Amino acid sequence: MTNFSQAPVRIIHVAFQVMVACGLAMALVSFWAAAVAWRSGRVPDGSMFLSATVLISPLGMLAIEAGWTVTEVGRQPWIIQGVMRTAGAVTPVPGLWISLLVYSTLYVFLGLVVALLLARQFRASLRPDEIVAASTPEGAH
Amino acid sequence: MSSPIISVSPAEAVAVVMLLVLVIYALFGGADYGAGVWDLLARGPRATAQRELIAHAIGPVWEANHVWLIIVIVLLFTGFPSAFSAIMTTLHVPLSLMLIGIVLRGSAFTFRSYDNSEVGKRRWNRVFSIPSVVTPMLLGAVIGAIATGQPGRALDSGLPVPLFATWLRPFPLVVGLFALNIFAFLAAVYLTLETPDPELQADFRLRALVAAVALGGVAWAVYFLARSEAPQVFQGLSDSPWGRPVRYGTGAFAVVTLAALSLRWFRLARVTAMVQVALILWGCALAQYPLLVPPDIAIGNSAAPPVVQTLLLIALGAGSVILLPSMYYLFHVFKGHTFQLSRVSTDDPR
Repeated sequence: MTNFSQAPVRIIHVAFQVMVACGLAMALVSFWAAAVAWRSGRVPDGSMFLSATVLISPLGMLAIEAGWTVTEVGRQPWIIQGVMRTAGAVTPVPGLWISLLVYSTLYVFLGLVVALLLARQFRASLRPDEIVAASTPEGAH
Repeated sequence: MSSPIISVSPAEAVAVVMLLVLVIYALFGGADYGAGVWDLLARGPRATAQRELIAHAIGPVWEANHVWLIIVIVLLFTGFPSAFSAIMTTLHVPLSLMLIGIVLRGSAFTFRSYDNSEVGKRRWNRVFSIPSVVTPMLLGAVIGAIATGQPGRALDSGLPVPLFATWLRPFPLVVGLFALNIFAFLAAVYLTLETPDPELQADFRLRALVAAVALGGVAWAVYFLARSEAPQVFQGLSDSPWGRPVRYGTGAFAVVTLAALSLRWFRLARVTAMVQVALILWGCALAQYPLLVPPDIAIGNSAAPPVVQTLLLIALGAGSVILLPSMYYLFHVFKGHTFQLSRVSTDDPR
């Protein structure tokens, strides 16, 4: 007899609300930009709007992770509903914690390298006044 | 089995496609690994030029070449799930290491273009070239281990899954070396056509000749070790009606490639080298037919239900309509220049 209510409901509920909230926030900022563009013919560039776009930029990733939490926690304890439980699908290979550790370390390392290289790119890039100076013939040197 | 195959079941068709794609992966993606080997071994006054040529040659195509490996893996786990399960549990360690190697190679190649300092370039070069050497050895070790029948027997024994005993044996390790040699050989042959500079061409011609001679030696070692460790493969290669033609065909193409390289007929050498490697791989697969994981798991008894196989073939057909023209276009744009190089002649003004 399958018992579908064994998955932890509170986690799924919160994750779902987070996902929807992130989506709504991003949609609102998009509508804001669309409304301003409709009325003035340009994309808004006021400091409030730009701060808002910076703040919502991680929300896409957050919404995706929250959505995955909903599906993956919601399916427990089944990996195939009614047919196979997650515990029954685990590989018989011993010492899987080593595998988990190695892959996690690898990707943390790669993430750090990407962050460092991006930071270096930002630091090496021209400031706005340097761009203006470089684009005018007299200012270039 | 002397009668020709009159009708092919969907499972067999999928298995043939799987082998074909694996051969394509070896011919195209394998050369990317081989190029990494030559990157590691770049020596002499033109070492930097060699490295730059290698980066220039692999750059546009190495990511696309992974498509073939992905197709093989997907066909394996969708079409032959119990074979996939057997291989992935008993050969977990070399396959994981292979995956880590592929990830590191890809990342290093990308990071190299953003970390332009001298220290950075050398560091990422190392991270790129060392996995390029290790990953083919692991791939060969996996294939060799499957051929010995150890993974299949380990599953049947009911003991806990072994981590190292299935692949840290002489035959798989020699097959690993063989795979590395094949890839390095292919890469050197391809690289002779990537450059108009006659000195660089001579460098890679020499490397291709050395790799070809070494390949002959390692191939004999594999054949010799197969007698004791992978008797099925050995029997298939020596006794079956197709075994002798395949062996002689491989030898013939190897000799032609050596001659073509010596005479600097590089475009001919490329074609015969590719046929030689394809024959080697077909020979190994035919030797094991119809077993996917000796001694028990065959195409017939590990296949998914026929409807799955049929759907797979339909999906492959539909996908090919997009994939094959795209790949052709990619190689036409980025490798088209390799067909225009004639053999090195002193009266050529360019």
